[in-house]
This record gives sequence, C-alpha cells and structure tokens, in this order.
Amino acid sequence: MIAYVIRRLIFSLFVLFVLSIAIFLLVQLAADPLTELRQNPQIRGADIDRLAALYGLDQPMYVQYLIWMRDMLFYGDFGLSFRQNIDVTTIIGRRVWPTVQLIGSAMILSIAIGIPLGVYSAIKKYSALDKTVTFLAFVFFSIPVFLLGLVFQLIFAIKLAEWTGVRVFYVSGMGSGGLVDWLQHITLPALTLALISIAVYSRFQRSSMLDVLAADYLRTARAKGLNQRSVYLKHALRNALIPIVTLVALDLISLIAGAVVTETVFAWPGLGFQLLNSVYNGDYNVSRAILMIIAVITVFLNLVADIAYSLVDPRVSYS
Amino acid sequence: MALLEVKNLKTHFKTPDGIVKAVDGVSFTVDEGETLGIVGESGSGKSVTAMSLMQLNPVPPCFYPEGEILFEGRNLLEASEREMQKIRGDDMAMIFQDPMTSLNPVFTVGDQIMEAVRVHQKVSKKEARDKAIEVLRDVGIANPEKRVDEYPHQYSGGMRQRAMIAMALSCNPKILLADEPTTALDVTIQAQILELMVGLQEKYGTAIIMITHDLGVVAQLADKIMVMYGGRAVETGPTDDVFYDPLMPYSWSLIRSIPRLDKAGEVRLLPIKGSPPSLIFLPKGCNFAPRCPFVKDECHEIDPGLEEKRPGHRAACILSVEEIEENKHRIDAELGVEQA
Amino acid sequence: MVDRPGDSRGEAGTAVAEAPEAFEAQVKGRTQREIIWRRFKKHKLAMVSGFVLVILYVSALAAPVISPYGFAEQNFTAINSPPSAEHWMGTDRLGRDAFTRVLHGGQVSLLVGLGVGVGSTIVGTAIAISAGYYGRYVDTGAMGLTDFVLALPALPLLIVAGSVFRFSPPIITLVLILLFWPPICRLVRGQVLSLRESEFVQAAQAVGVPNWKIMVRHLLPNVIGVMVVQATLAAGTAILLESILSFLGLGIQPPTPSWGNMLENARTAMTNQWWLAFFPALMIVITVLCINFLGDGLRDAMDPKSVE
Repeated sequence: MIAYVIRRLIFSLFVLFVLSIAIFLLVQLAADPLTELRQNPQIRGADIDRLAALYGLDQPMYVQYLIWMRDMLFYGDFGLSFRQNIDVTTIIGRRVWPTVQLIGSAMILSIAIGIPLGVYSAIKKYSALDKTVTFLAFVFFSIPVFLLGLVFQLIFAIKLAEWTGVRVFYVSGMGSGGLVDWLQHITLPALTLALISIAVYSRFQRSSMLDVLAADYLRTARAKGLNQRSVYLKHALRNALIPIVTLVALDLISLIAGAVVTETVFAWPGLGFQLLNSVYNGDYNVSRAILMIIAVITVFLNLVADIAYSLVDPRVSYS
Repeated sequence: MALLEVKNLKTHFKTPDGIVKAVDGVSFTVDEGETLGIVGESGSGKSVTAMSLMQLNPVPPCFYPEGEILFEGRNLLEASEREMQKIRGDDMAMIFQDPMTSLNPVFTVGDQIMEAVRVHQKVSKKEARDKAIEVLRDVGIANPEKRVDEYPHQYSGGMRQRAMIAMALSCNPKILLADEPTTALDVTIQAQILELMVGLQEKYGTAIIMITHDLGVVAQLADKIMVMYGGRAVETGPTDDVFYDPLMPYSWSLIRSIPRLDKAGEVRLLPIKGSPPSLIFLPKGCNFAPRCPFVKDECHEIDPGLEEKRPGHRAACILSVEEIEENKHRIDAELGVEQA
Repeated sequence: MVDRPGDSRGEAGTAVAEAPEAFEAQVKGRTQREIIWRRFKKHKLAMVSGFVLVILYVSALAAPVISPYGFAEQNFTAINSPPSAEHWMGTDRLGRDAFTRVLHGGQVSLLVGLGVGVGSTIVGTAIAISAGYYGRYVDTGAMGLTDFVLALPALPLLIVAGSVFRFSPPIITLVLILLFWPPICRLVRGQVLSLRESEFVQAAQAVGVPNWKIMVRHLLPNVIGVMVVQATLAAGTAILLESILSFLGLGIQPPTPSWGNMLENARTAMTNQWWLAFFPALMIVITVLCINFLGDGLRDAMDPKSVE
C-alpha cells in the first residue's frame, strides 16, 4: 500500500511538471504582451525594451520558465501582474477566500441534499420520488452550468424583483457587509454550482446504496429482528458511504471547473473570475499562477481519489 | 401442539415471464428440540421455504396465495411486520450459507451479536457484551474476550460461521433455521460445524430446520426428513426410513448419486439426468416424470399427492411400494450393486 | 459533470453477474441480442430520445437545404423581432433569422458531439484492447497515459487553449477526443483483461488464430456494449463543454453560429428579446438530455444486473 502511494505521488509530481511546462507555454502563446505593445505606435521601442527587461521578458524562453519555477517553488512568488502592476500573490490572496466560500457552500449543499436523496431513492426504488429525482438528475446533467446560472439570474433575481418589487437575490458580486447581504449574493451562484453536484451525489449514492441493499449481511440484520430503519440507516448506509470518499474528491474537481464558469457568470470575485479576466486581458503571470493552483489541486484530488478508491476496492481490502 | 406447523404453504413470485411457484403447497411440523432436514436440489424451493418462515422474502414480488405458518399456534402469515421483528432473532433465528458475506464488514463481531441481544432484551451494553463473549465461547471461539472486538475480516470462514451461529443462539431461539450452513466451508470445517450444532442443540434444546442438498448432512443430524422437488414435498418420514428405504424415485436417485466411500469402486453412481423443472411452466402429471428412471405412461398424466406408503412415511408417487422396490432392484442389478 | 464524462472511479458497482441472464435466456430460448433489444424497447424515454436525436441530426445536416434564410443573411426591416410566421424563432439585433442560426449552430454542436463520442470511443478502445491484450509494457505505458490525461484540469486548460488556437469545429472535436478517451479506455481494458483469461480466447489462441483476428472477432463484440454507453456519455459532455467554451467566447467564433456563442450574444438581451436565448438554450438541453437518456436506456438494456 505504501509503495503504491509513493508511486502515485511520484507520478503526480511528474504530471505537475509536464503541466507546468504546458501552462507556461500556452499562456506565453496566448498572450505575449510585448507584441501588443510593439503594435502600438505611441510607445517607443526603448520603453518596450525597458519593460521587457523589468519583467524578464528579454530572456530566452527556457530561462524565463526556470526563473518562474524557481520563484514559485522557493519564494512562493508568482511574479508581477502586467496589467495591475502589483504582486500576483497579492491579487490571488484577495481572490482565494471568495472562491473557497463559493465552492465550500456548493459542496456542503450538494452533500447535504444529494446523499439523503440518493439513499431515499434507493430505498424507495421506482417510487414517484425516485423517478422524479432520477429525471431531475438527468436534466441537471444536461444543462451547461452557465445556462443554469443565466436562468437563475433571470428568474430569481430579475423577474422576482420585478414581481415582488423587492430585491431578494443579486445577479453579481459578493456584497459588502452583513450576513443577509452575503446570503443574497451567494445563494444563486452557490445553487448554480451545487445543482449538478447534487445530481451527481444522488445518482452515486443511489447506486452505491442499491449495491449494498442486495448484500447478504442485510438479510442477516433483518433475520436478527432489526426494524427497517436500523437495517437501512445503520447497516446499509454505513457501508454505502464508504465509496463516497472517492466521489467527494472527484466532485471537488468538477466544482473547481464549474466555479470558473459560475464565477464568471455571476461576476463573483474569485479565482475563476480572475482567471478569465486575465486570459482576456493577457495578464500572463496571473493566468499562469491561477492555472498552476488549479493544476496542483486537481492533481492532488485525483491522487486522493485514487488512493481512496484502492483502499475501498474489495479486491484490495480483502486480500 | 407442535412448535411449528406449516400447512399447505404457497410462496409465489411475480416475474415478467409469469408467476414462479417457488413453494407450492408444502406442509410439515417441527416439535420442540426436534431436527427436520429439508433436502433438495437448488431451485427446489427449500431456501424459499425457510425465508417464508421468517417472512424475509421481498414483498413484492413475493406473495403468499395460500397456506398457514403456525408458530406456537399463531399464524405468521397474518402477523404484522412489527410482530415479525419481535419473533425474528428471538424465537426463530437463522443462519445462512455464506459466512463470508453474511456478517456486516463495518461492525465488529461483538457489536453484531450485542445488537441481536439488545433488540430483544432490555439489557445494558455491558450485559450484552458479556452475553456475546459467552456465546462466542459456546461456539468454540478461542479467546472470546479479545475476539469479540474484532471485525469479520479478521475471522476465518469457519470462525465466521461459528460467529453466525453464536449470533443466532444469542437469544436462545426456540427454532433455528440453518440454510446450507456448511456448503461454503471446507470439508474438515463442515464436520466441526455440524458437530457444534448437535452439541448446542443438546445444550439449548433448540429445534433445528436444516436445509441442505447434502443427504449426508441430514442423515447425521435430522430426526426426520422432507425431500423437496419443484416447490413441493415429495417424500417425508423419519430419517432412517427415508435414507435407507426411499419410496420416491427422486429421493432414491439422490441417494444413489452420492459417492460412497465404503463401497468405492464397487458401485456405479446413478446420475440424475436432465435439470429441475421450470417453476413457471410445471409439467403435466408428476413433476419428476421427465427425469424419473421408474417412469410409466400414467406418470405424465396423473399428478401424485403425498400419500402414506408406510406408517409415518409418505411419498408422492403413483407406483405402489412393491413396484418401487422392484424398480430399485432392477436398476441396482444393472449398476452392479449387491443387494442388502 | 462539467469536467469529464463518466470517470470509472465515480461509479459504484460495476460487478458483472451473468447467472440471471443465462437463466432468462434458457427459459424462453432468447438470444442475448433479443433480450437487450426487448429491454431497450421498455425504456420509453430512451426510445423517444433516440427518435428525437435522429430528427435533430437529420435537420442539422440538412440545415443548408431546409433553413429559410442564410445564417449571416440580414433583414434590416426585421431587427429584434419576436417569433412570427416568417421568423419562427425571431431575429437578432442584426436582423438575422434565429431559426436558421439555431439549425446551423446545431450542425456544429451535434457534429462535435458525434465526432467526440465516436472518436474518443475508437481511440480509447483501440488503446485499451492493445494494452489489455499485449499486457506488460504496452499496458503500463497506456495506463500511465490514461492516468496522466485523467489528472489534467480539462476546462481550465481548454480556456487558455481556446484563447490561443481560436477553435474551429474540427479542432475542438480533436482536442476533446484527446481529453475524453481515458474513461472509455479504462472500462474497456477492464473487460478485455477478464476476457483475455476466458476460455474462448484461450481456445482461439490454442488453435493458432492470429492475435489481430482474435481481437477483432472475439474481443470487440464483447466490449461493444461498454463502448456504446461510453460514447453517449462522451458525446453529451462534449456538447456541454463546447457550449461552455463558446459561451465564454473561447470556443467557436462568430460569425459561425453555435448554440453556445448564440447564448453569449443573447445574454445582454435576455430580458427583452427572450427568444434569442430561449431557443439555443432549449436545443442544448434537449440534445444533451436525449443523448443521456439514450445512454441510460442502452446501459440498462445491457446491464445483466438490471431487473425488469
């Protein structure tokens, strides 16, 4: 087992290494800020050269990469923002907390709603509720996340305010104070982000519960004289929750990707919103930094999912 | 009054292909402390019979169109789920075929036994734990004080079946249903488990219904035998009568199909040709007729009921005792078996 | 499911049981294919979905023929007009017919979906079969590559890539194929591994049937079920991702219409010209929903564990 973890860890580092090169080059190709400046007739060549030297852009590509890596790894320094002329670290520092709030809320919502729904669907298999949940899950799997956001904005923010005359939810930003204000801002993006995950959790939990419901040990539990409640919630659920560890890790990866889109739709001032702005603006150091953060988290969560999966895989655990 | 009296039990299942008559009119009785062996091939309805007694068949698709299960005079088919929960594990306990999968992997063995005790008795955790240790010791688990806190995967297969038996006996049930309790175990372990069950029966006075396809097991253990075929009882009687002088061609073929160590090399085995009947489309006449070595033309027309062929010994066959004996001799002679 | 289609790790219970199937076949003497088809027919939603998809694909492919206007054709007398007899889905701020654009946009989305579904399945299966069959280094290498691609943050990378390469429909199809083959590869490899040990493959080897023939003739038919289901998953996810990228302005570029970039255009006009957002949105949801239902029906039909 330890050998396996070490092997996966080394592999993950390798993936990150390749990703860092890919991210560096992609961003370089996407936005060479000097090209843009050179096309501007009002800026003198000498100024451009001075800027290039300041930002290290006059160095050969591989040197730039090595400097970038060195600063990142040893000093936690992601360089300067070309557009805002401040430390990328500062920018990211401001953007992390909103993203954590958004993803955290969405994750709590999806687990708190998705798992009970899945358990109930499995117990009442083919009931009206099961069929409804199944159908809705398919609908949410089939809606691109931005569209869900747009629909929510239209119905729960714009139309609701028109009908009631009171602004209940906001379509953008995260507000500036107070719990109520915060809730008015975060509800719609968090719900947008959560709905697909709720669908994922409920489907997964349903099938994992159904697997367990067929198990011999549940027959034993019934033969002992336990009531249905104990059989389901104690004996079945305990087993059906084991594989969820893997899902939490994998779903978090989806949530991060979804957050990039959701934040953009709701102008939620998090890392995802910043990433798209930087991509549009050609703020290359910011793009690279956020991409690297996402890459590290994604690779790490994949590692966690792999290890968790191998731990609960019966072929491994029973040998 | 018998402890358990089953009258004309029918357990059917609704499926897209039609109604599966898994158990179709079975009657038997079990007295206190008695052991009944139910024998048959897989698909003969023997396990479904046991599950019906406990009311553990999934409803739907399962339903009971007819019959009575009288336990101490009460009809369990009319009992509510809540009443059944009181009976299960307390008055009537069950052990299953596969000990590897019958224990919940996420709870300790002790927890699972304690749970069984505490569902039915108002006792403290400590008392339940003591009881768990006691029954574990009873079933021959060494060092039960330590073993009680271990998880099922730390037990071997034989130990797990012992733990299952311990769990089943933890509330001193009046009747124990054992559904192929030794099938999944190694041969040496099988003998130990059977011996254990005999010992425990003497100690606790529990009635046992032993369900098995292995005639050797019942011959060792049972007071009386019921042979099932195609969802029906085809022969019932005291163990020795059924085992040494079967009066239904199916039981006879079953016995002739077991290898016998004492006569190895002298006796050819008699395989039963064909496969058990579909429980949806039962053949007209006798269910066993298509596979019967004694078959007559009338067998395909007349559906034989159980009839008393000898005192206390019933069989479902239209042949007379003399005809059956004659056929047995004839085939034995062909196979080269010496007559006793 | 924003990120990637059906990661095999995310699915509980893929155990294979054959007994009830065999029994069922025996009872009424049915072949495997008949059973699957009968079960599939019972899945009403899947049947309807399949039918809707056929209509969608035919009309999208026939877009140049059946659409009433050109997709860039402007009608300055009808700007921002709501749905009417002349313009079934209304017109946009440039006076272009929305119905025509939805049809053409559908061409992009549907073809990207089909291309990625088929392409990633072929790539994944080919890699899986060679890996599972040859084992050893081929297998290790293939699985390493699979793990590698699976660990990539797909959407964020696509966002940057989209700002570099200016995706055209064929390129986005290709890129998504490169990202989507691993789950299929994993599943198929699992099947191949168990099949490789099976008696009929060993028998074929014993009588000297060449490897490639064994693979094509014996392994492929056995993994086709997994492939089809995975293909639908990949197709649905591809359409979603394409729409997301186009919506963000990083996918299909105007004037080529795609449902995603039509929605981006319509975003600011959502409250006033509802039809501009409504129809492309509806089309995306219907298409992906139908693909998912179709996949579900196929999976149920082919799952030996499923009970009717």
